[in-house]
Amino acid sequence: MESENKRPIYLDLLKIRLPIGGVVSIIHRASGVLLVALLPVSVYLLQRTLESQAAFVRVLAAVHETFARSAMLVVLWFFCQHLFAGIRHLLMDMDIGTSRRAGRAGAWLVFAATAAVVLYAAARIL
Amino acid sequence: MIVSRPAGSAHRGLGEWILQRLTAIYIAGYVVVLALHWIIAPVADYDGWRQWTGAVSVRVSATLFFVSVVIHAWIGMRSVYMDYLHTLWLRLAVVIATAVMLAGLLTWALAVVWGAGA
Repeated sequence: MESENKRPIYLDLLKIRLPIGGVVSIIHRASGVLLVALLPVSVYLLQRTLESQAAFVRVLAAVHETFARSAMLVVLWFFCQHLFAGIRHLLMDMDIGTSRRAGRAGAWLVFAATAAVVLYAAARIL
Repeated sequence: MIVSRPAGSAHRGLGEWILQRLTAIYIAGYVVVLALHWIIAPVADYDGWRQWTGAVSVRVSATLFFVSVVIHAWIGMRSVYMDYLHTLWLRLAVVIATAVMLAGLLTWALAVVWGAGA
């Protein structure tokens, strides 16, 4: 009995070749956690811009820095990745794109759409 | 692990499932509309910014946004914890810390949205 059991008894993450849908799924989680971690930053920035004329100008000047703009692109990347993977999720809830082929195509589309938005934004603000 | 559940608990997940999707749709729609709005009509100056954020429609929609974000974050973070944190006391501690953080964040965000003058 035991010799017939060929199931791996451990999960070696380096040996598992995650399908593309799985990659989208784990990045959906990771980007979600990162976005939650960044929530206080966005509320803080909103608060500062409403505080006073001087603070408003300071925040605006700060986000014009190349470093801040690069950071914003990274956040945009998290957001778009999460948004597009979420839309794929909602479509799959409605039984759209649930076949293996469509699922894989949709996963690639998530990456493509994210890249398109981030590159467009980069071209605009950098 | 055998978990005994009270009758009817099977439906609890459904509510979260629906809530996660409703909040997702609102957040996505809100962010896209805001982004388009700012692309079409960029914020000119401090006075314009104060005037715009002081409008009741902006405040109400922002309130709905922050409430949605906090609910969405809560359900999302909880399911991540349930999958990866198996030590009960640790999971409980992290869940409580997250709840406190999100409640504080919502209070703060709403104070910002409704506080500053106009």
